[in-house]
Amino acid sequence: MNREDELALLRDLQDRAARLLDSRDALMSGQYHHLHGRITSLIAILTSTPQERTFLRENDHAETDGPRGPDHGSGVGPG
Amino acid sequence: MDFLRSSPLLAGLAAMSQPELQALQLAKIRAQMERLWQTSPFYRAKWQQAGVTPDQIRSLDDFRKRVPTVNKQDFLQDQTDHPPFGGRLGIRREDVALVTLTGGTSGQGQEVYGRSQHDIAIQGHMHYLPWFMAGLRPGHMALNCVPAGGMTTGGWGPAEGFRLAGATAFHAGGTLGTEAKIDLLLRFNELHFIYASTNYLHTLTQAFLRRGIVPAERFPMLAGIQIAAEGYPSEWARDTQKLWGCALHEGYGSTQGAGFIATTCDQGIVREDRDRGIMRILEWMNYAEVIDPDTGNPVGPGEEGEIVLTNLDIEGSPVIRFATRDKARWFPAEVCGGGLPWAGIEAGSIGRYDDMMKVRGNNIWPLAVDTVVFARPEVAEYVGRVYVDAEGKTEVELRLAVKPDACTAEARPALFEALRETLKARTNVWMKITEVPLTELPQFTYKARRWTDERKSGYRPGAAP
Repeated sequence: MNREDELALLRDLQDRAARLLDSRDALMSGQYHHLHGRITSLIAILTSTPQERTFLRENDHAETDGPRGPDHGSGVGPG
Repeated sequence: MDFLRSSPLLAGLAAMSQPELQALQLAKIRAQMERLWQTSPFYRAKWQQAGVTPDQIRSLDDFRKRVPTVNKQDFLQDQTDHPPFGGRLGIRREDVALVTLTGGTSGQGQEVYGRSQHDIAIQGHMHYLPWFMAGLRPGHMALNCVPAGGMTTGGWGPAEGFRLAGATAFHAGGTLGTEAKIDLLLRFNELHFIYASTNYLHTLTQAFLRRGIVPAERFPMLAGIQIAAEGYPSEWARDTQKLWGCALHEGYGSTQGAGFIATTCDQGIVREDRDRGIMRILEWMNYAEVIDPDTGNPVGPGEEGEIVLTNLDIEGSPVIRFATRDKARWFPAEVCGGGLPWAGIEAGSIGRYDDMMKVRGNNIWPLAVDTVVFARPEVAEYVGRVYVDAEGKTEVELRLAVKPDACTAEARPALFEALRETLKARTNVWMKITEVPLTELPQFTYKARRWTDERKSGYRPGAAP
């Protein structure tokens, strides 16, 4: 499986996990948010390289105008 | 019950009949045994020795009668023979994502547990689950007074539990002093949940009162408080609950359980219908038997017995019929009330079959202290006591006599300080040493009973510091 396939699979999981966020089970809802956060964080990590940014810019204009990684411009991030 | 209304999953588990629950437990036990038969030389050898194979276990009765118990000594020997995790690990070494140890204060050695990614999430769930039943909800402001991190399950499980809960948690235990914690809470102005040892909740309560603050008035939004690790008098529980204005809950857990094994339901530890509350066994994730340690038979309603534990959902270093040496009073589901199918154990009175004492979350075995103290030839005798001081803090005092002419008066402070340092290193507890003449100490002719635990009468409800 190459990087693009991994990313596509994670995107698919992200969409599916997002549906769990509407759970009416309060015991599970925090855990579903946790799961969703894990998936979005993996997508952020995978899209942190310049190559991935290029890939995203070329293939994903509808969803983002730039990298989907963490916004380090906020001043929050590893020092 | 609010937790049933808030969770269809728990409502479904609560609606199970006893036969349905037992069938679920049996299916999980069978799956564990079949997996461990293939992956754990330790359990396979134990079961072969007992002449039992997983396919012969067709009922919980078969499991109780045919599968042998295991204990701490078995685990320590296994680790010595097959370091570091022993043959009981049951998963690939490369799949161990978290290593936890028991306290190591027994003087016998530390049990090593290797947990997988799956187990870390289960461990978190098994901390969150009782807190959820106690009122914690996603988005709640929560104060974790138990030190986070380190090598113990109690260090990692709560942090993971609060993370899974989606709670806004402050892991202040071991990081901030009591006054700093109070400053923090006052600054944030909102608090829904507290997790603390029994002793620490008392310390926190008294510190609030010293500032002239009644917690119930300052934090009327509090949904629940969960305590663990130490017993208490029921009067203390009633008074403390009044001061905080929310239900006090208690959980019973251990490293072997990878989290909580039993917890009070929404009724909490203070009940109108009985002196002490009941902790419901989380039976769909643990199989906890309470047996007569002499006969191995299950105890009857209201009787005391030893807790024998089996993990139903842990895959790394699982325990299968682990004899905990913990002593508990057992109640069947129908006695516990509320119509739930889960059996229970009495809150506030978990004891030990050996002489271990819980002090501020640390396990203290008198033998471990004996080993340190009597390693110094200058010491003639000592007695130890665990008590609650005027500020509500649990303290340990050794009243110790030095042999005549074995140590000069000038050398004694250094001797006592060296003992304190070594005791702290071995038990994780600072102990106060008071020198007394040998004539003030009792003579132990047969089995020495050097220790007294004064805590059950030591928490003084509402006492001014």
